[in-house]
Amino acid sequence: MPVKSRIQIIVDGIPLRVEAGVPLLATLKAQDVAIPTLCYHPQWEQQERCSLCIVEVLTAQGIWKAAHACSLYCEPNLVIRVSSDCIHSLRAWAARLLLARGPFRDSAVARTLHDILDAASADPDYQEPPLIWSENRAMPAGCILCGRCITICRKIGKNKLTFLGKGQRLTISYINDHADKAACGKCHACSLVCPTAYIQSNGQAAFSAKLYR
Amino acid sequence: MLSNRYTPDSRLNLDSPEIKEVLRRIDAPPPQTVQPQAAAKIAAFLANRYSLRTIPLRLAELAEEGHHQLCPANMSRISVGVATCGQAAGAGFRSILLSARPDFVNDTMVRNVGCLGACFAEPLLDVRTPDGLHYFFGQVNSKNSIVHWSIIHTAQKRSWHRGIWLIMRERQPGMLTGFGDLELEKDYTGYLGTFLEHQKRRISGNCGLIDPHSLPEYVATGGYFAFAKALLQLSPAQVLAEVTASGLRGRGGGGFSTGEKWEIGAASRDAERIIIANADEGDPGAYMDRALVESDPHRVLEGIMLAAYAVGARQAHIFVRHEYPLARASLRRAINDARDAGLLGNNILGTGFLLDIGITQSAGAFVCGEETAMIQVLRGNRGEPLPRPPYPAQKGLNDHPTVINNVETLANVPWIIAHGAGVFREVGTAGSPGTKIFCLAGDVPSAGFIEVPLGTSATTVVEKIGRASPQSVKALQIGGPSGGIVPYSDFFLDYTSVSSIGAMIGSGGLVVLNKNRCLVDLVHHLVGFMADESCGQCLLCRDGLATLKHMLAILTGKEAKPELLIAKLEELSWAIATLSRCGLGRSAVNPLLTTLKYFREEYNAHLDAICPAASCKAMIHFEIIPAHCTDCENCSLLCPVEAITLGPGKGPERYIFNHDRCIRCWTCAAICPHGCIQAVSGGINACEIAHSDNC
Amino acid sequence: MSNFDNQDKKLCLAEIIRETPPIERQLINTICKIQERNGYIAEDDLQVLADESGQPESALHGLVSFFDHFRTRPLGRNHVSVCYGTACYARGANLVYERLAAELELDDGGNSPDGFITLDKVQCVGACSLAPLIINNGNLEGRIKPHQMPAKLEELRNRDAE
Repeated sequence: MPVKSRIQIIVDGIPLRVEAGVPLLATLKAQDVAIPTLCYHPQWEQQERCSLCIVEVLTAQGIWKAAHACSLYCEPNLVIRVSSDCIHSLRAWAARLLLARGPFRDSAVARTLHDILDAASADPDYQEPPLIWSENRAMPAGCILCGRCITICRKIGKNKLTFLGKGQRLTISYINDHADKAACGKCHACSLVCPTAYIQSNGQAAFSAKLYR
Repeated sequence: MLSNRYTPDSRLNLDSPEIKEVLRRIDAPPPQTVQPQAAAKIAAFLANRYSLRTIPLRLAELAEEGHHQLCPANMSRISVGVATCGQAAGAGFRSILLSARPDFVNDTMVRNVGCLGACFAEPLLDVRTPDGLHYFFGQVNSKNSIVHWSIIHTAQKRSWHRGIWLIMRERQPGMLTGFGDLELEKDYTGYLGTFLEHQKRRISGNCGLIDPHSLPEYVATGGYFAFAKALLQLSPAQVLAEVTASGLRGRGGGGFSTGEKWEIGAASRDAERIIIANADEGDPGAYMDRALVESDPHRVLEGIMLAAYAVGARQAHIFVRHEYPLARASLRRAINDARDAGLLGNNILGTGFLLDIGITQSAGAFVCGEETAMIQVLRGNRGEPLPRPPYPAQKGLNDHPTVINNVETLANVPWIIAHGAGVFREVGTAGSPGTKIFCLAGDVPSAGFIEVPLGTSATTVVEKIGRASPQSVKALQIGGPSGGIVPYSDFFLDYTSVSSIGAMIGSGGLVVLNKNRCLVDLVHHLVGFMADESCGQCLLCRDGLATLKHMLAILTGKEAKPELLIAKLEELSWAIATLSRCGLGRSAVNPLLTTLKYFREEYNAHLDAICPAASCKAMIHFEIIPAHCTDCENCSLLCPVEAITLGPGKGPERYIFNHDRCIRCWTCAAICPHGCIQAVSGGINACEIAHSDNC
Repeated sequence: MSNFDNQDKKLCLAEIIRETPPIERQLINTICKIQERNGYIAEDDLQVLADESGQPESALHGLVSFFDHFRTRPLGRNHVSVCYGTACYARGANLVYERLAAELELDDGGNSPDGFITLDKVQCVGACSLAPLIINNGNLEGRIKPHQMPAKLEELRNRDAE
């Protein structure tokens, strides 16, 4: 196993020695720095789908620029901060939009999202205005369209799930393809990786959208 | 049997053998013999102009053939504009009728040409007489039967006849290598001449003059001479250096330095490089790429060939939007003709350079104009953009360096190689050299596509070329749904100036908006468009844009407006722009942010349920202006929901508008013969209509 | 689907691919050509394409659904599209569409149940000076007015009856 080089990055003003080339989000988790996330999986490319892991990077021009921690990689002289008004405000918008895709079977999800909203608002009595759109959804409530189920189904070679459509009509579909009509339901891989517990038993039950009826 | 007499309402059976014969004749080149002594004349002239030391024989032959078709010495030539706009306006019909004339056989040829860009005058027709005069006839549509004989007489008698809109003359009679060789002789309209005079038609110089399906005609204007010069006299590095020196910037929207992008591709350690020409042109209101590809496809091909030579690519793909079937057909024909002439394929012009070009059809997805999304589609995946870096020029299709350029950008390259970077820079500004094709549309009388030096003022474009009166113009939308909506003022149309006012030139779409256009509603429409076109990967873009659309629907609808609605619009817009992976999400909020900056009072008025433009359905009701009403009852008869009833007596007072029944379809206002029905905003009659209409 | 039908589709697909120059054998081109031939993409077209291309069927469903122009049901006997580009919208495209839709009963694909017509919205076709416009069975008709739409439908119905 090759020895990975250790480099120095600065997080909230504190220098840390970390492994080079590792996603920042994983590094921060290992250092017990709390960054919220729903869609990130350490071994996959799934990134930037839930927009909760927002941090700020100091650019060469001396400006703090918002970025997703899951798609930033540790490299020498990386300077980041994990808390600021801007960060909280951005995470709060992501949280609002995600909450509008609820309710979620896993109550921890809603709690996490509400915590993010609390962190962003100065006034504890501040009522969220009911402005978020949630009508005419193509995807039933509880799914945040992170796509982890699709990725794992592909990785194990079953290829039964796919995104369908785009934009507001984006949804997930289960395809019982003609080549392998073995019914879904034995491996439970998708339900194991679903971050909101939307998938209860298997993909076929969870995703009823179809391109052809 | 087609008679000589034109009857205005003749319906032609396009399957009849006579018509098929006529169509075959239009497509086939007229029989011409090339005099051996004069064989190299036009070719020598062009070679001299472009400093080409040896002329490939094939090129010389093609030039000669094309020259005889463009400037026939003993025949008149009628060129009918049959690109998409022309066809939609009825030009194809006219072309067929004229070509069928037996008495034209020896003295007049009829050719189909592309689009001159004067869309307000379509269908446009140009009669060229052997002395080098061009008589332009405009709006030669099927309702205009009298002009048919003027056209025929002008062609045969070679003199002025009633109905001519404009006369231009070849500066040097018998020489036509582009629009620049023409000068205005007489303008009978008062505006077509001005429309053309303020332009600098370098890249679109052949559009509307040559038959887009004719390789010889393209060569006769100097086509492929730049390519020959590059292959025979310049190294790829020299071609690249020339393009870099020219300062050419991407014309599709990014405005990124073309030379720099090519350099990245050319510097790669990977020997296999790929060129992609972006003809996806997703911006609604922008059709300059369509016009170029339909009217002068070889120029685009030549640009691709030069790019491939400079970057070291052997394969190129043209990615064309699904909505442009004519453009695809033009390209297909051009590629086949170029291949047959030895300009594509193996061992081009005997130099060992080889190149193949393929066409890929998109199928209706705006996001595919984004470089990484386009590459995804070429690989057979959904058009979901990838993170950048790596940039496609570093690592793109199949991990090879892939240089993606807009077709207008590529169309500039032959001109640069032919004339040189220095001459290219003589026009435009230091930071934005050269010319740009803009599509002028909206509330402007002379709408069409125009080519002007970058840095031209907005007032020149809108008032002098477009013929709009300054008081009528409220705002300009620049750069499509990714661009901005700014107040009309005398700013300069170059990359820096436009971005300093918060907009972007983008693809070059310029939509003129008068005071009857509600900007809040337009933004609602544009944001809705982007929300539908979002690929859906990024939460903020996908659900954020949908939420913005919902908020704007509330703002333009009947519902009560929550507090802080406008502040939330701004905040959410900023979040979307910050957190989106690709340009779609990042720029989708530009129309909203620019209108909030410059037209905030329109938003504030909507908070009070008033639409200043009297356009938003939920905020208007219709009234009669009594002074003009002649009591004709048309409005009452034609209202689809019987919302206008007639009381007893006479005169405008007896018309009763039931504002609750009214569905705001504007039929009454449109059909009133005296224009006395107007929409009014504000007041208790602002409506209570079903919310679903506002999507 | 019966084996026989799929054999037919396999041959059709093989022909399409054969006719396509190698540099143009992208999936999206193939799918466009299938739709050109048949008017729409059938489910077994994707089955056959999955076998031929090696892409899983689910990926092809995902690909086809991404694009607005791919139809999964046959077109009606008439096809009318309303352009929703900026210039057309500014000049009342939505009023044109609404006027047409009000006269028709359409499913969410824009198809009338009796197969008479498919009505849909398209993005900018690049003829903005003729705004607003419709594409009526392949022909561009510009500068149209909403109140002309019932008569236009009547014309189509009359021709349909013949």
